[in-house]
Amino acid sequence: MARQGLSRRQMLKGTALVLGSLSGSAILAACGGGAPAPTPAPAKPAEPAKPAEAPKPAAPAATTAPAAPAAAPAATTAPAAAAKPTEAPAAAAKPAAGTQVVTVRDHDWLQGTPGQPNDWYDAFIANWEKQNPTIKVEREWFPRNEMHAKQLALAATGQIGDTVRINVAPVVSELQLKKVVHDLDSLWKDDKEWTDNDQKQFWPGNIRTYTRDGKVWGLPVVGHPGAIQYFVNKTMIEKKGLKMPPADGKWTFEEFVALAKGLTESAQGRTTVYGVIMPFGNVTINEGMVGFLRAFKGDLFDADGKKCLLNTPEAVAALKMFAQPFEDGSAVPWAADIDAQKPGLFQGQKAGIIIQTSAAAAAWPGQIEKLPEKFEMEVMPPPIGPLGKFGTQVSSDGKGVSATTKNPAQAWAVLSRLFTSRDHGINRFKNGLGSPGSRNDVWDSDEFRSFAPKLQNIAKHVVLPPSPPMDAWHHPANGRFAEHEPILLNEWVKVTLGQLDPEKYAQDVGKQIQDIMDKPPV
Amino acid sequence: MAAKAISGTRPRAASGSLRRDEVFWAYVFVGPWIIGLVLFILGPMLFSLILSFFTYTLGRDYSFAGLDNWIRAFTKDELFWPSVGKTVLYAAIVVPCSVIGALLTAILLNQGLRFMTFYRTVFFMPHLVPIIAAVYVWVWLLNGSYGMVNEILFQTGYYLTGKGWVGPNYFGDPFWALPALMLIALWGAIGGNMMVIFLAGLQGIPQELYEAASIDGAGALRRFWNVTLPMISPTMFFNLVLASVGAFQTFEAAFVGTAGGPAYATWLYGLHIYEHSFKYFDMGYGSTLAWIMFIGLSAFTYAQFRASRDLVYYAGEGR
Repeated sequence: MARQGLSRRQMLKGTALVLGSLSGSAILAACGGGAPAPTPAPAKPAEPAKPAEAPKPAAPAATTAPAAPAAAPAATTAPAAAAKPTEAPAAAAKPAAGTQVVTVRDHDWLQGTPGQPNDWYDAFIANWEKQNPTIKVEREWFPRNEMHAKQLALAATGQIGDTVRINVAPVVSELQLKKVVHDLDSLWKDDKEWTDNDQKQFWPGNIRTYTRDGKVWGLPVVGHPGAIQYFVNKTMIEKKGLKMPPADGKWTFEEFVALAKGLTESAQGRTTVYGVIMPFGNVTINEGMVGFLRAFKGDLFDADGKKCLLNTPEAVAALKMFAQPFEDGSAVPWAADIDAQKPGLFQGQKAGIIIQTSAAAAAWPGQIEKLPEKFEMEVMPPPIGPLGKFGTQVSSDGKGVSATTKNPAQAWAVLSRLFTSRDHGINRFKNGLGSPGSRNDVWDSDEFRSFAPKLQNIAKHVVLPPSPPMDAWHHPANGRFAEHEPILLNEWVKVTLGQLDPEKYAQDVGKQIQDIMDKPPV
Repeated sequence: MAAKAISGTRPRAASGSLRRDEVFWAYVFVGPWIIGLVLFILGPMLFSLILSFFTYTLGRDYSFAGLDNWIRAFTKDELFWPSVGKTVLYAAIVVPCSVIGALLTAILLNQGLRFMTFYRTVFFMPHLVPIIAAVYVWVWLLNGSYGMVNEILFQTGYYLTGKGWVGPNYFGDPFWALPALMLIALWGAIGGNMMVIFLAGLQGIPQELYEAASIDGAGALRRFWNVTLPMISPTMFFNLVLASVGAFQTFEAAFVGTAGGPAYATWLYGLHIYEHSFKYFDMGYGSTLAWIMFIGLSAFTYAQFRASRDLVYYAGEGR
């Protein structure tokens, strides 16, 4: 048999050709962005689906079962309605014969222990599904530090679910600019029950945070007035004969600085007890710093998100006050593990005050109760500065409906009746999963009062009327919120170490952040 | 046929050529690897090269940017050169220290002492600890206020002088943060893979060479310098190249331990790439940064190989 041979050179050429072709195909496929099916790519989304095309739900059962869209979604005309949030469902509703069950894919970060016994979310969602038998919530939850990136990747490849998590409220701009989220105004316009009841409960400042171009793009799932809650060790303060901060916030920043100094102890050249843990963490500082800035009539960003206001006399005055505890040696220095240290430092009585968000108010009292050296903890409002009211910046993480959902009515039902409901806000906090809901009917409820007694000073004097309305969380309009925080924090550490003057900080950082705000939209 | 059976080899068509069926089976066997290489390494690499000439933020459209990203890196990015500088400094200290440390450890563990297997296991253990866990533990140990290292330092000072020695806030002080990261890297590297590779190299040196050197009157140091070092120079070169690449790519410790802080003191180049690519989703610029690193590392590795021609001894090579 005649042999046909291939030289090694020919074989190498062949291999190179195969590799080249395959690589080229891979690149072309990648450049093409992949098949957008089943939903269009968010960069060029189709006309948003209108909830008016969605099913008109059957009237809620008289027994208060929060009815879901009972009819087939394709034939309904209004967003899914639910019973009034305050009403407890009496019995599980059943889908009408032939009714299609719609699955709503929900993105969020991993919370609780899904699938494990006694997981609160498992039970909460299962119960809601029983009352809304035409909707099934399919959780696609990711670890929090990966969630935002994964959602963007899913959106970019046309695979995003129906409801999306807004990692922190200012991220809503990025999600709106990237056409990941649907406006909510068009979803709630026919949902009179929600607009008449629930909508009025949300803090206006928080809704403003989620508003862009005159429309609302997300709703707060949780909320608090900012990193301005002063958790104080009452026992330590009294033991030292110092004056407790007043419950109504009528104290000054000078008094706070003096209190922190008074609580500080040192022995043999090192600090053994710090007066205060200031409100910044390993990688975050925005929330804590803005509380000070606003109390001094300053701010970080303007309301439109176009200008950085750090380099103003008011802001500089606030920054000097923010730096004072470090200068006095009464503040815990920044450390790479400062966030992890905080509970141990405060509960271990190595720090007398910690300024932070409200989330810890649920779990800490019980934890302190179990300590060998118990102490009494109180949560106090911040001092009132030159502003004449509390320097608030409502904080929240939110949720929205994806721009490309095929089930806008059901997604809206899940968003409005499940994850931003009053019950959710109360019970999520109660189960130690974070801050309470961003609604007055949460903070003003008997349930909340009964299990969150430590937050009542905040509720009464900061959150609920007749207290002045809390202010929105301003952020860069170009969606570049993530870019400002490393600058804000890293340069601030220099201030805490005495390597940079607050005034110079305001100038330098103000300019750098303005440069970010002047960039084109993300 | 008889000849084939006797020789046990198949006749070749011609010198240097392969039969078609051999080629076919060659492709079949390397096929999975080729597909993996193309889909998961070569393709994405080439795609990222293309991306470096585009402005592309995840979720938005592409727009051609020409050399803008490349120019931005070298001239406009305020953290580019500082991150390069810190990474070079980190590598310049960690690479020689880890290679020399691993070599010394391997020499120690190559002695014919009792319980040597136990010692080898003990020295290798740090390498088995996942880097993330190691970083968390070290950050805790080196905590300025309540870390164990400073506590031991304080108590030692108190015991010796009557006054405690107050240690620095390692991960909270820009002066100390990078050295602290280096310490973590060295802790994991000195007893790790490099040490094992050195150990294998040391055990591969023929004993006759040492015996001959001893007969010639060479002492321990002379034997090390004239026998051990030349014989393990290929091993050392291999470790050096890998350690260099690893040091320049350092990311996890800075990401998990310090997030680049304090005051950008540990803002290493790998972290800089990550921040732009996966925090700001500026994929075009992130790709540019990655390619700059790739080109720089390739050039450095090439230089290492060139230098090795005169410094590395390969037994059996005619010189």
